This record gives sequence, structure tokens and C-alpha cells, in this order.
Amino acid sequence: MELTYLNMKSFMERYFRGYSDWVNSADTIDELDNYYTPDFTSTVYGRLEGMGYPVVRKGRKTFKDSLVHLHADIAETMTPIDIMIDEQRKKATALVKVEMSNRKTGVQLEVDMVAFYQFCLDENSTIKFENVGVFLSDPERAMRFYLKNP
Amino acid sequence: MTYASMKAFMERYFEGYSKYSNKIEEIDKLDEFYTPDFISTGHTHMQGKEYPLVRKGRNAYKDSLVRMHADIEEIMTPQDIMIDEQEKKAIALVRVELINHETMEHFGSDIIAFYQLILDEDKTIKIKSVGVFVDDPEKWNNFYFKNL
Repeated sequence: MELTYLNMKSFMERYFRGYSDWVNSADTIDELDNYYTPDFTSTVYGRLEGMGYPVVRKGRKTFKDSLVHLHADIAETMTPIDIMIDEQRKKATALVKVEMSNRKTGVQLEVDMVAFYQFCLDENSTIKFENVGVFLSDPERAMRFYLKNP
Repeated sequence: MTYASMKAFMERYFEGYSKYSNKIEEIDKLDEFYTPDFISTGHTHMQGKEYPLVRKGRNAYKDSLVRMHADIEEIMTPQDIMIDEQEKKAIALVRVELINHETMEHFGSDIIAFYQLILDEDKTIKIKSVGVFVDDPEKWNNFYFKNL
């Protein structure tokens, strides 16, 4: 597999199609191993009360653990609106609609997000994300919603 | 519009923005970068402001810059510029320094902006639209958008 424009774009499309199915259950979260390197790093550029800035999660396992924790009561669906690919630098940026729903209360929240990803090829020449950076249209409200206090 | 020419344009743009957007007498020099029908969209949920925050037209955008920069100087320094050569788009992770000259308050912030580029009738690269996300929407609302 080569890191061409088309390969990176179709990888992104597959990722977003699968993400919403896998991220909402501890039973399926390991499917994300097909997309993240073991040393995957996530950086959220949101100034959130009581948290450092930026909010960094280092390591795929740490990141998946935080997803399982955040999605205990919250179902999340991500729909890409636009996907941009920098072929030379092996990067992608996605404008994404994020819909969150509290399974217990039925309360919903919709925010927009920009996420930018660095690709790499792993030892099996398979495309993976090495890291992601995230901006949200309303970071404080999204985090309150995740922490069950919408 | 090649990868290299779009990247060089964006680097010129960030230099030009910091130089011209803070001086009312030089604001029209931004015409070098924006199409007349330029649209700016702020993807920032801010109390008392519509969402998304849209400015349609280069003149409307420049007018809002003049109002917001009446007492605030804004310096943008790109940290990373990504180019989608096929789609003619640029994405920039930017460090923004805002200084209120009346109170001497200072606010540093990270933003991400994505730009649609086109060639105008003179075959010159221009920005047709921009979308922006910021790290701290309420701080921007209180510090920067108060004159809007």
C-alpha cells in the first residue's frame, strides 16, 4: 500500500464509516487498532476547565481507554463534511459534524469539529494514523456533555 | 496553482495579514489576497452571536476587521500549512497573539483555518473562503469580538 492521495482519502472515508460503529462499545473498540499506531497521540486544542492545555493522550491504549470512558453513556456519530489531503506531507484534515446523544436521558448535542491527521505506513506497509489534532466549535459544552452534565 | 505556489501564497498571506489588518490606512492591501465575494465563517459557538458567524463579501469582512482592530492588534504566525493540491485548499494551524493597546491585556490562542483558493481573472491566486475554529470561543468573544 502506498500513501497516495486516493489511498489516504479512501482510508479516511473507511475510518469515518467505521468509527461511529466501533467507538460506542467496549466490545468493538479494538477495531480502531486497524487505524491507529500503538504510539498514536491525540491532541485536543480546547481550553477546558480543570484540564491542561492542550489536552494530550499518548498511546493508542490510553486513547481507547478514554474513548470507552467518555462513551459509557454517550453515543457519538461522526459525519465528515469535507476531507482534505496533503499528499506531499501525508496529512489529512477533516471537517466533521459530531452528533452526541446521552443514552439514558435522550439529551442530544451537535457540534462541528476539525481534525487533522498525520499518516504513516506501519511495518506491514498498512496505512495508519500516527497522531490527530482536534478543534471543536464548542469545546467547553462538548466536554460538559461527555462528563454527563450537559 | 501548484503545491509550491499555493504554499508560497499562504506564507505571503500570513505576513500580509499581520502587517495590513491592524492599520485602517492599509486595510485595502488585503484585496491582494481575497476575492470580492470572499466569505468568512467562524465555527465558534459564542454567547450572543449567531452560529456559524458568517461575513459575506470582502468589504464586509474588512469593515469587521477595522472595528475589531480598533484597539486590538492581531498577529498570526502559521505553525503548519497543509495543501490539498487537487482540491486547491489550504489548511493552517496558526498561533494568534492579540494585544489590547488600551488595557495592554494580551491573549495568545491557537486556531485552525481552512481556505478555498482560486485563480482570479488575472490568473492570480486568491482566497475565496475561509473557515475558522479557535481553542477558546468564549475568550475570543469577550476579548476580540466585543466591537462586532
